[in-house]
Amino acid sequence: MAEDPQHPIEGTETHPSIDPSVLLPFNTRSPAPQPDRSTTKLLLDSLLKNSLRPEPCDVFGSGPLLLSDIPAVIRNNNERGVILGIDEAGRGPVLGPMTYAAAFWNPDSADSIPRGFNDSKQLTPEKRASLFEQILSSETIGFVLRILHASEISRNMLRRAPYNLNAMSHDAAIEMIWAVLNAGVRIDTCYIDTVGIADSYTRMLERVFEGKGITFIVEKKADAKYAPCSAASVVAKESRDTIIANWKWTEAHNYEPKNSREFGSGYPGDPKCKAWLDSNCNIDVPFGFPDFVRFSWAPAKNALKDGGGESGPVIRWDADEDEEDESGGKQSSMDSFVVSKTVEDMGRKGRILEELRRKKPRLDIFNELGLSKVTKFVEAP
Amino acid sequence: MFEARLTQGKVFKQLIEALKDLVQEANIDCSDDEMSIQAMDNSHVALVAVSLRSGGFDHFRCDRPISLGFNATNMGKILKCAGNDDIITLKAEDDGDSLALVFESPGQDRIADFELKLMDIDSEQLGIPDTEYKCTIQMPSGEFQRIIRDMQVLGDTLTISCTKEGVKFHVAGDLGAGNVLIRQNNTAEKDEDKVMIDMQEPVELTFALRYLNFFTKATSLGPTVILSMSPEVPVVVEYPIGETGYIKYYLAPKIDEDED
Repeated sequence: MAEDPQHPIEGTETHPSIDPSVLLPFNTRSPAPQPDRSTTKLLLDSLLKNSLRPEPCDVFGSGPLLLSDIPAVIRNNNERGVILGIDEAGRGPVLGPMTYAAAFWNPDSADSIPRGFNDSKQLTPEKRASLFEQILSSETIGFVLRILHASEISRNMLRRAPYNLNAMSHDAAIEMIWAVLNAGVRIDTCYIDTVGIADSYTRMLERVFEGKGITFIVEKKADAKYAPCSAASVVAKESRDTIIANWKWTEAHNYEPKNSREFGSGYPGDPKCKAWLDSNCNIDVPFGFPDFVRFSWAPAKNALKDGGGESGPVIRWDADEDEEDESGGKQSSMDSFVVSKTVEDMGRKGRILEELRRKKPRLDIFNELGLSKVTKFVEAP
Repeated sequence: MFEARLTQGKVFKQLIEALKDLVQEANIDCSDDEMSIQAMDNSHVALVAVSLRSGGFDHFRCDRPISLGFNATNMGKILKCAGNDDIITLKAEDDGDSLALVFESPGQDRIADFELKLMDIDSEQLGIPDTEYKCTIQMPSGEFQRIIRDMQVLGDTLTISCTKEGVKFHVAGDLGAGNVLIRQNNTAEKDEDKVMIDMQEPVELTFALRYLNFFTKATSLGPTVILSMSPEVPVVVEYPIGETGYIKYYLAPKIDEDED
């Protein structure tokens, strides 16, 4: 991930008008903290306004992860550990990215934290925007942003062994926590708005961050209960909204879909969104939709399955076949219940087996030539 | 060197039958006291765990732990060549890349041996956290198979609810709905016909019938099945194999997602 741990930019304050397109190749996934707030803001701005989007779109990689600068108050008072909240935005919509954010501060500086945090969906847009501004300009709050573009989500969910949205959410949260820890920040308590079953999510986090001394509080509606979560919720929601408002179509130079941006909220239930999907289905056969659409969402899948408008080909994804029966709730995965055994608790037996399994697989050439391993030598007659 | 001889060869035959529809590839892990298999299905919705302890074999020798990766379909094809009364012996060299299977007829008048190419399967060893299950239901495996078969006629999703009245299996689909209620029955003459329900608190879980149907392929391995359930965790469907082994299936429930 961190191909370049060095910051390509130094002394940005003397170069306020740095060309953001230069930054991208080095920094989109770099989990290293930014050197200062102005760089953070500059990079965030270019990320959200998509001027940093690589072309063609990031089909194979995962979306950007940005860690802000670490405020001096946190750095200088690291003993106590920060409180950190995590929340997401854009889980349900069929359009656009899902954004994951973390916000953290030292509990001692609670007084300087803006008031009025709540679930970002319950805040008025004006209030939310102003809180976002306050977080960005705060000298006490640090934050992390992980953007999962629609293309990344589609690709993961439509894999043969699907990597589902819950697992992606969990991994995004883990990635952000690591980024903060790796920046040398101690975390005292971590508040997370749960995704899936809170208990198993907590257990998983405790396992991953064993020995780091973090207390995990994973709850439903945590964004309405804990200020760091609310702050994260604001960052996530504002980021998603900004990305969507400034979306640059990646399909081709000057590409503009039908009805342009008349997609409403992006939720599949919104009539505007439905109309937009309908009018953009298979306009460019065989691509289906612009990559702003989550192909793995039922409305998008169904639209394509029906032959998609006038002339589209019928697309069948193998991975879909297993998911046909969506009645009676969403199928959960075993992954969130089982624990991968660590070497210590495997015991001697397990360790040897594990070593055996780590052996490199036989090269195909041996099989092709019909060579097999010999364990006994027999003298030629 | 690994060598295991099973007079009741059909147990191994049925075991592979019981997992080959669920998993394509798996490792047989052998140690000095046990032969075990653990694998997840492709979509990571179900997990199967098999254990046959060395005491269940007539002869069991395993000099050092060994992991034998096999393709379940191919293993099944070879086992089709074994008669139901045959004695099956499994053999593998420590560094070999094949598994030898020897089938002896009961009268020792026919001995067939086969070799199955092994493969390197990259699979993580998974631990299943100990759970105190709120409901444990023991019932005849044939009865469970029948319920699953009947329910599949009506839909894809089965709700199992365990209350003090008994265990209710419910399905609803396009053509209608169906319910089967199984009550506690301690009075049956044979132990294996008894239905025993141990419930600390009521539990209701929903599952994809498709997988439960795969599980009932193990019915021939034993007369009883034990279902263990707790809220929001996978159900365990266990078929004890004699005194010395088991095949356990774990199935992740379907959950109501509160969309936000």
